[in-house]
Amino acid sequence: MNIIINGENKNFKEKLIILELLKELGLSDKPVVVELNKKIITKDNYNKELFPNDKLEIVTFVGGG
Amino acid sequence: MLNEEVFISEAFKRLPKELINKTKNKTVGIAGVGGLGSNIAVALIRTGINNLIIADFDKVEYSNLNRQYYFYKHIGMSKVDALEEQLKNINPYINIEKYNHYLDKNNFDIFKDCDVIVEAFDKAKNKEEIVDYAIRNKKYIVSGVGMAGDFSANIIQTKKLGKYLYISGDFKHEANDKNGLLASRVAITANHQANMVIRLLQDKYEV
Repeated sequence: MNIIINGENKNFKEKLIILELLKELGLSDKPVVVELNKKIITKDNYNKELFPNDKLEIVTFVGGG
Repeated sequence: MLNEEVFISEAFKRLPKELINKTKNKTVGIAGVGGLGSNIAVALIRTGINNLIIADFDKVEYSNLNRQYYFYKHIGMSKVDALEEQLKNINPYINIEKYNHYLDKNNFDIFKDCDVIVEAFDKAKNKEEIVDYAIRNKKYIVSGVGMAGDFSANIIQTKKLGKYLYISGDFKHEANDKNGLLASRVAITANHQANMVIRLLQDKYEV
């Protein structure tokens, strides 16, 4: 299925939860914030299933300030 | 010294009256007053914001002088004390609440009555934690992510995520030995954040 991540179309298997997606992207142990279809998904909801054409914004926090 | 009323009308002659009226009773919490936080605080005070809660555990060091709003004479002073001095040299009538402690999820509640929280930490993990706190508590938060190096200033922007989160920066360049942290790009990001805070305090929610 197609998922739009930070504006780019990407292809993933069906029945995917957010945590699995983050693992596939190598981000599961990185400090991130995830927005799904304009709503922030907190970590306790990373078992939420994704559906075709869902829009995700994923920001990885990087050091500096 | 001018009395408060005369000072405010003189010092903020160039600010819109509507902005002053809408922001005068608002409080902004700043988590971390290093490169981002010290510059953000200065921009907010110069914009007539009266009430700040500033928090940082650290002291001013020589290595801060390349980008943080401190002077040589502040070396060794706690950052919150040094920043209070700087801010009161701009407007002596502001209210500054200071927390000279390390911040983590056990004490983010110092910001619970703020109208907007500013994330101005150095470390990625701390950034993630306070953003999570703000979202769970339905607080507006403006975070800074990606400002290292001398990359184009034009890739620094502010994005809105969900209802409560705004992030300024280039979202990419982390502080390391190769990139470094430069006054110019840190201050650009800080002022992106400050501008968004000023907008939020006036109920302007678009970036």
